[in-house]
Amino acid sequence: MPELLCPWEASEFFIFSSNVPALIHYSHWVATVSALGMGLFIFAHNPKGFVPRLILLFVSLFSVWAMLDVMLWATNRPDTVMFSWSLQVLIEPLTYALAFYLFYLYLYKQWPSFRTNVLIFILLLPLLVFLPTTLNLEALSLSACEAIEGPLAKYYTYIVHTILVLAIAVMGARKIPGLPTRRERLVALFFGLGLVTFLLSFTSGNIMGSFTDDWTLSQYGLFGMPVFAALIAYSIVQFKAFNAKVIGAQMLVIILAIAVISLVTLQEITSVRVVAALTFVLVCALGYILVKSVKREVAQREHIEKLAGELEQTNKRQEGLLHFIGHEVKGFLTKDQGAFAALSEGDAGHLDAPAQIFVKQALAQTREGVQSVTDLLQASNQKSGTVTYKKETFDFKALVAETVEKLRPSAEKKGLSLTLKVADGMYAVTGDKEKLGDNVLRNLIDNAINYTPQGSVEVSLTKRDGKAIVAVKDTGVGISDEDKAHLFTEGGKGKDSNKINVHSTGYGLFIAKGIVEAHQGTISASSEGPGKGSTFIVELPSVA
Amino acid sequence: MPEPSNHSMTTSSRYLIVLFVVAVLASVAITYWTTMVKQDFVILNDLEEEEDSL
Repeated sequence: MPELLCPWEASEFFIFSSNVPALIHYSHWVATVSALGMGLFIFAHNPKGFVPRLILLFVSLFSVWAMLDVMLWATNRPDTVMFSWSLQVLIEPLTYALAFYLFYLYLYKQWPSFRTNVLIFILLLPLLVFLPTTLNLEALSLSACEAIEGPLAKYYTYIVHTILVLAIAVMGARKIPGLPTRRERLVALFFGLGLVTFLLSFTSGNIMGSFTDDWTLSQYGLFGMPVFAALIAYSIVQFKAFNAKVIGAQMLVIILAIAVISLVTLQEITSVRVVAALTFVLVCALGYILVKSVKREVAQREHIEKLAGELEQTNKRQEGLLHFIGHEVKGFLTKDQGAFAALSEGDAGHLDAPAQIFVKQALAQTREGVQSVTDLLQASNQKSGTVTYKKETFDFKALVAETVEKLRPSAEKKGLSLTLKVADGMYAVTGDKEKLGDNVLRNLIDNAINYTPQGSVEVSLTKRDGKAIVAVKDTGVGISDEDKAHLFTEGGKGKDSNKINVHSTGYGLFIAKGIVEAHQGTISASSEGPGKGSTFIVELPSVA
Repeated sequence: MPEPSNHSMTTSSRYLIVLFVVAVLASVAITYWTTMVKQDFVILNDLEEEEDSL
């Protein structure tokens, strides 16, 4: 006996044959792509979350169902029809059960109780037991290549669907109003509405097919999936749901592109109308989301720009205030310094020994104070770009020697050896002699003395490639890797620097760097680590 | 999105889900055996009737 086959040619690649209307491809592929796109999008942003995993499983199951459906339309083999049809009868209630778990986990943030699991198990059990029997599919009608459904497929599955959809709706109605924030309530509402819309459209399509034997109608039910995807995309954009940062509209654009390109494949005018209407709905949804996103983005940018402007004004005012205070304090300190100097030199009469010591200490401390305030003011000027530099050509070698000699007493006071090594040659530098002397050389050598408890400080001057190179090397506390990172930054002090130098403002090296760079030079530091000393090197262009 | 704070599932629920998955696989396997392998189903050959009615 020849093998009985349905009255059309065998399918190609399982999904193509003359029996598959173009609308079937359209409805199934759009639904599958949008479902998988949404599932993968949410899963990719949070692969460890249980809800994203369940969403992915849910859309995967749906995609298998949709692909089986295309196969059913395409095939002319009765055995394939019977097997695929049976699988579909099983997958549909499983999709519903998954949707129930998904929404439960989302709302209650925990798995359902054992009792609920048992109830769902009992609800689905008849399907598993009777799936291979005639209670599920009674026979196959060869002319339409369709299965004749038994009570299991025709009635029981729809009872299961109804119970689960009702359970989802009741769960949402009971739990959503009690959620703490408006945002949470809206996300849950969109999520639940999307799920129920999809499930209802899916079921109603299939019920129509089962009872009218017109399975073309049931294809419209699949359009519930893009609606579900659109609602999820909207939730992502509007409420930043599912921890996704990227605009979910991208997904809608892909669906839309498929919708538009599929118009090319349609030959019947009626189908074109349906697809065009659906494309229009998608365009409206996408347009709304995009316009809303753009509006919000523009509003945010304007807000940020306004805040940035206000911040700049506040900074300027604060800087002005700091400058004013700095100048005032410096003025008072300078007067004190003059007074102490006069007292120390005996201008106000002879002082006895204890008073002499006291006045000298006060004079030293006032000088430190003046230096600190000067540093702060200079750093502030440097930042605002209002520092002016004199331009004169001078003997850099003499400046280095002069600075070393000025600081020699303080080195000797600490018992340190301070040496200067100068290689032969001319060292003419063009720039601001005072700033290079006081704020760069003096700063570096002074630091070396302050941060060296014992040993030596060695200053060397050499010339290479038209550059005068000063190196200040000490046997002091050294610099840790952590401190190196912010050595020349504004207010950048070593972690323990205040333990050694209580007057450190953290601005000395920042100012030195600014001055050296203003002279087209470079400044750098190296150290083998804490306790191993350090070397600071300044390179300046030399004109001779 | 608020994530489930308590993912713990009771051991009995886990067993139930494993049992369910095994039952699904068994049901699919038996269906495959009866339809694709044994071809144990009724085919209503209504092709001729349709042609007659035409």
